[in-house]
Amino acid sequence: MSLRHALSILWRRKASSSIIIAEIAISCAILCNAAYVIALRLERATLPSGITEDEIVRIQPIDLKEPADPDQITRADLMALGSIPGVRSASLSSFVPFGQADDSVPLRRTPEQEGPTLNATAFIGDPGIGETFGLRLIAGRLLNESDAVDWPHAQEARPGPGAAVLTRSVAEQLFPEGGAVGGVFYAWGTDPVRVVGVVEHLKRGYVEGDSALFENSILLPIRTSYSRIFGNYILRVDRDSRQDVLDQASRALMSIQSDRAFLNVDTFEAIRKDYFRKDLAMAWLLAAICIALLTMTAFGIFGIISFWIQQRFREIGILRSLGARRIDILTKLLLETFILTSLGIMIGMLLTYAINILLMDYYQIPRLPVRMLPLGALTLWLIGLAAAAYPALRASTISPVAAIRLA
Amino acid sequence: MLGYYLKIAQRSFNANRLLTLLMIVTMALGIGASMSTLAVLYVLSKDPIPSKSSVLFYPQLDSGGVAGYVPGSPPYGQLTRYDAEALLRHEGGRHKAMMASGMAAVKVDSPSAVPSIQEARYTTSGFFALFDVPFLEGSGWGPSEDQEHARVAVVSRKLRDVTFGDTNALGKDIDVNGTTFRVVGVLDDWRPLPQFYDMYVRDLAHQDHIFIPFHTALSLDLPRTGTTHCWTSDVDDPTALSAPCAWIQFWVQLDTPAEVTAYRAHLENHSRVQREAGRFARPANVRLPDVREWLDFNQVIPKDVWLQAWVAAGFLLVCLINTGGLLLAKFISRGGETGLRRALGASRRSIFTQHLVEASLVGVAGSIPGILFALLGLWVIRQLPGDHSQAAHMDPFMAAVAVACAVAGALLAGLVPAWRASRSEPALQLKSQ
Repeated sequence: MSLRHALSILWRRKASSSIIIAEIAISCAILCNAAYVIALRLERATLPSGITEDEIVRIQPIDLKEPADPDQITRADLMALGSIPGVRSASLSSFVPFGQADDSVPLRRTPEQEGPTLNATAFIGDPGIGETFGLRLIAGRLLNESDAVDWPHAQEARPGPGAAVLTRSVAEQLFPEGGAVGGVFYAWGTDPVRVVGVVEHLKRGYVEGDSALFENSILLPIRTSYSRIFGNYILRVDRDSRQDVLDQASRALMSIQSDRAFLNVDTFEAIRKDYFRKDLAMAWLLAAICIALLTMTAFGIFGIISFWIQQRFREIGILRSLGARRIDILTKLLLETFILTSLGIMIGMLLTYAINILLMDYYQIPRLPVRMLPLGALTLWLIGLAAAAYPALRASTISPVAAIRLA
Repeated sequence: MLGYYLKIAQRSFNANRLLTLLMIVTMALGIGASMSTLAVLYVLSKDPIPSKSSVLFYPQLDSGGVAGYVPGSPPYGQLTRYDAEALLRHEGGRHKAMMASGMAAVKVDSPSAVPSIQEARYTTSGFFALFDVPFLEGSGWGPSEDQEHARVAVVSRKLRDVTFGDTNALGKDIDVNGTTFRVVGVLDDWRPLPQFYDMYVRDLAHQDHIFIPFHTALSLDLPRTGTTHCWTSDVDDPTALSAPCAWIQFWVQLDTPAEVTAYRAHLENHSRVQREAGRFARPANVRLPDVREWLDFNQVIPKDVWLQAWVAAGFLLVCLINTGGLLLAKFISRGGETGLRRALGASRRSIFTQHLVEASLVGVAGSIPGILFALLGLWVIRQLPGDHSQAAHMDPFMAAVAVACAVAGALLAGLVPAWRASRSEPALQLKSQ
């Protein structure tokens, strides 16, 4: 009975009802999609790198003048860095996950193969990089001294690496039949590279586009100078001494070779933050707009319900004088709000999916998961009821006498 | 008539101060949000070099290897050294230059000075005439300096100030990565936005602060940055003349359509010759976009900026609906006054018009705080990280757009309420008082 009654009342007030419905529908569509995009961006910003992030710092020197013996300086650098108190391990690496520098080495199963099986980032450095990065081994072993080949400054041509550690992703692509450890593949030239181990994760310097390529990384034990590979000195340190170690590291490196400067001196935490700054900024912006939107919708509903109560003053007074209790008036008004928000949410769901399809096309984001919809619906129901609560409470206090007096 | 309507509107605003204020704030918020994102979009889609964007061209050759070839796809956007040098020798085009990005440690030529690391551009002499680069002191170098591998440099005003202080630097020596160069020119403030001449730098918002002759930089093995795309894996030196690597940008100025046609024909001929000689493995696939086409191809406006603009537009829509609701409330609660006017002979149409005028006034009133909110929004955007944020500014054109949007939006929001107000029966309205 009261439902039919409520619907007929709302039908009498088509204009303001449709305003509430439209507002809720559009807010629902924007909210659900914005919340999803926020979730996607946060997921990106928290992609696992594969390394023990809170213990890694990086210092990347650059020569101001070409040194006479870069190999010797590299050895001296690593020795000095390793002896800084708090440094558990120091290695040279051509790249850092999310470091915004990358390369693309074609890997082949057979030397005669026409095109590569895949392209990967080759983390070139001394054999200890696996330990320094703190990579998680899932098969075989990490690289050791016996795997290393030398690439001295005087030698123009790059030596065949001989041994490598792959990520799980690369192992599955190169050896889909299994048995990566002990298997052989080809990188540069025709020298076979033997796989000695597989690690779980190691992200590349850039992670954009197809997420299947994000972990195309391999470790190659090629001992060379930092200047040749624009290398990064990676240090594994205690969490709390990261900044201290970086300060000491810059001083130590400067004392070994004064004609140098530093391209980057940062903790891995800072590297990650810098890489994903745009994603985080987008998430913040969308969150701000969502909050503004919800507030705007709440005020809109508040305004219209208040206006209705003003208009229906006499009607409510008459109802009270006919025996309606305060709670009945309150329930009646909240029911009307509930109906409107429900209608708005129903239309909003359709609108949400329509917008999601547009976003899928243009932004290559996946389909909105169904679980977003109940969350959006719940939020808007709560907003609607909260906004209508105060006016409805005020309305329930209208005394029967006041209404009759105004007649 | 309009004056009368305005008077009624003014009375109505005064009678309902709170409601009117609410309407204005709602409009202003919506306008503020959408105008700030629109301003960013506008700045990024502006022509970076309007005086010359239609005569500057960027030749593309598909010099890659067989592996990874996808028929029909556009050629890679950089040239090999061999092709760039060949194009440099070709006499077509009024100005031309080949260039690449690099990094240099620059300091005053004294042992105790501390160097600053700067973004560098290694380019041939045509760069400065090509892009009409303004000079504060001196000028660029000439083709003879290119050939001699002269150690000359052009620096930006900022770099000059950092290195020499705010004094003349022309003719002075600077130390670049251990080698002494002579300053032959200082650039005036020059920052084309969006940066269009090199799409392969890491950060499109970066600025080049030192310009060095291309071959000089190569001969000194100065550090390079940007992207190097090699299609065989055994490359020892990607900068060698015969290296199968593309890492160079090339720009040419072609003033007439005839020149463009001739140049394109030359590119196709060059492609054919290279293919016959065995250097190019792929079939001829040349492109010759001008500045705008090159910017479009590279999708200079990040998708994020579009997404933000659309979300802000959605927010504006909700604000307009809200304003519509408030207008509806205001108009209906003045039903008695409207009924009286109708009873005195006002037509439905004049009631409708008057209410629309009232709605548009809300728009006008909301546009000023709207512009202020937009300025605030732009300030926030400038603090956010992002390549394009620094460019976010409001100019008079955008402000005019803001006012127009506010008035148009308010009119739109007021359509249904005004129509509803004009439809009520005067008898009912008068009786219910």
